[in-house]
Amino acid sequence: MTDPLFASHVPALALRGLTKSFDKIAVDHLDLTVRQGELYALLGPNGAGKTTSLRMVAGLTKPDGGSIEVFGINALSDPIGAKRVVAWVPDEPLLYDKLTPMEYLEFVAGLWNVPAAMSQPRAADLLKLLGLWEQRNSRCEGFSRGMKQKAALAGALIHEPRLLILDEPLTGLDAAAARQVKDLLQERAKAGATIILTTHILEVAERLADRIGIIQGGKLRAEGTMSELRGLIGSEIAQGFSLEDVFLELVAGSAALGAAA
Amino acid sequence: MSAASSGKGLSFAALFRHELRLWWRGFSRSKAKPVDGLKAFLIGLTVLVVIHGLAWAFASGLAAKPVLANPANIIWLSGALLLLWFWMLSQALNSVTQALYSRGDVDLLLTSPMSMRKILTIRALALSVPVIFSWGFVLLPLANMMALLDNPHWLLAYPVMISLGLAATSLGLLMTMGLFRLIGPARTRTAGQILAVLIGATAFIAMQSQALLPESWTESASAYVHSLSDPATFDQNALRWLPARGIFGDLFAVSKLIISAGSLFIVSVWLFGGSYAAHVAAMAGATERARPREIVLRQTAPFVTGVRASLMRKEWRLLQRDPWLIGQVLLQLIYILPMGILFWKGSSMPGAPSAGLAPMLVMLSGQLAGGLVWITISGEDAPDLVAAAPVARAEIIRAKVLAATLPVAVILVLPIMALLLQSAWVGLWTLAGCMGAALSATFVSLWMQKPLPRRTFGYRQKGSVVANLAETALNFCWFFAAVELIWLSYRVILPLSMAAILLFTLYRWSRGRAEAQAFL
Repeated sequence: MTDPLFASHVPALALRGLTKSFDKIAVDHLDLTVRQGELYALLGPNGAGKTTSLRMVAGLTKPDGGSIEVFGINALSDPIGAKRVVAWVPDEPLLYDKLTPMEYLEFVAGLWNVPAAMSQPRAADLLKLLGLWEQRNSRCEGFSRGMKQKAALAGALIHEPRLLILDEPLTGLDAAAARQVKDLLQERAKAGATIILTTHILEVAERLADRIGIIQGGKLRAEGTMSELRGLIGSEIAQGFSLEDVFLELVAGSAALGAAA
Repeated sequence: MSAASSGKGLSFAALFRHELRLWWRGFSRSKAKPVDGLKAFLIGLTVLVVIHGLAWAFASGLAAKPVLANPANIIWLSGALLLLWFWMLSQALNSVTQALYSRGDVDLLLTSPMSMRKILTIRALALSVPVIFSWGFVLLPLANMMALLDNPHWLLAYPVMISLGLAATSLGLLMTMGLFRLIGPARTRTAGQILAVLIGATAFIAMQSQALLPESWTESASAYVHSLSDPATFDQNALRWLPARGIFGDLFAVSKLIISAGSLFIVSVWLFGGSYAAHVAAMAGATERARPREIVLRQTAPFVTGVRASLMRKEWRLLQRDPWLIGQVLLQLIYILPMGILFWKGSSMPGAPSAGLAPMLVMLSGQLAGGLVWITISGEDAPDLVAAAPVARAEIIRAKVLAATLPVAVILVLPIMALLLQSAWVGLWTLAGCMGAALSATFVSLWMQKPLPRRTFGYRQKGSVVANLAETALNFCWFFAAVELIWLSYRVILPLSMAAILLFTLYRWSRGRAEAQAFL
């Protein structure tokens, strides 16, 4: 890319003071920066505001306040420009029961205005890569959950997004499918794409992510590589800690802080 | 909590109430919160009074001279009841397949400590309530008024209607079970619904047959009735006259009818109950299991480029692959046909013998456009995918509306061309009327939209009663506007201004609602 906007010093995602309340505050002045080419995991207990934050980035929920910049594009003033480079993969696959994977990919490619000459061979490659080639002309209604998830992922990759956002991508996948998805994500990150995923499976974050952000109560509580997070606990035995220990310690600690305040 | 501790589960009455509540919620699902008791009571009372008023007007005409239980009257009433019963059967079939496939609580009930037979009996009884009341709603008030004006024996219509409803539900259960054995769980749903549509349409057309058939046919039909009603040969004890004789005050016939309908019901519940659990399990599996033989396309079609092309292609694929939807469209064509022929016969004008068809085409245009636009706009399985795409919402809506209205144009183009060839005047006004009706139906669907997964809602059942009523009213406005325009009457101002007022009110109303979306 020669576009200055995509110069490597521009963050893939920059959230400043992002705020959203429904009945109560879901996202509370969230600041978050994700660098280009990073695989970033957002970790947090249920109801921490992970999904709401990412839905706002995808342009599906309007924030109450704050700013969202995707590769320097202001997602609030130029939503369509931002959506062009983003793909959103929620935990419930966005599929059509009555379409085949091929037809689905054609539709998604059409939405992102990818020329047919490019999208058709790319669709074939993706389906082969994800092990859905044999089912390319079968309707999705008969698919297992894992197959649906993989078809939806193929849909997200068909327009080669620069920022790929996945909400709980491994939910309901068996070991083999989870492995395929993990490999694909790492391969995409190596190829230069930026990936943000939420997960409650700590092991996934630990193994996959370059950096991990721990979010609770709509705020970023801690952020860093695995070893940086271990260091945050400040204990001598922290080196032996798993992410689960760190996570529980941080969440419990901030809850205690919140209670004290 | 005595139910939980007794270990027997809910009582019969409690479970029945639960079923009825589910039915009612489904019926009035537009309400986000339940209507409070007094308001519901007042609305119900008003509706009852209005229906009884209409029934009174009708009954006073009927009861002008005493209606005797002579063979001819028994035969005519039996014919009417037979058609009515077919209608009930159609509805029963529909609700049996719906209830089996789409109620998510079957597993819950089956795993509860209640006997299977009890659950099924209650469910079947609950299914028969809407079957009985769909026509009972209109006919029972008529019976009340006839009882007042003519003779109390008309009140026996109550047990007769209930028996007919039970018999229809029983047969619906048996037919579903038969289909299940014959073609398997995967296809029973569609086949059952198509069968329901066919039976309903046949009954409807038969009801209109007197107006439709050539005169020589109707004459021979009345000659046939006449020969049947010859007192010398009329066997009034035959089973087929039982319901009619019951309504004419024959208590013995009524009790026979109740006993036979009741036993039919018990037998079919008993037969069905034996394999109910297996059926439910198989049906639940049927929607999740792959059926490669049926669903595999032979080859991949070449991709198209562009937002509009791919959106329209996707919408057409989804419309095409919905047999239930196609059945509903055909049904609308079938329903409108008798009326079209009636108008055709009744009104022609010099130079344009088919002018009578024009208003029917206008009506059809509005109905089809309303249904198709509604399902393409609101029946979106992946709304977040479309919302996350770099495409303006207006562009999506335009492509969807275009995809939905093009099939309507294809259906209407030939008849409108025919009218144009007969008379440019009639043809042009028909075209204008069709476009007006389709456009206003489109607007109603857009303003009232409610995104839902496609399989969860029906084609003509809009999200709210208001939307359904508004659309019907608008269709009638355009219908009358076309009539007045073609016959060149200044009264056209009336239906047109009605339509304008309706559209404006809906527009204002939907804008005030939270879920009203930015549009165009």
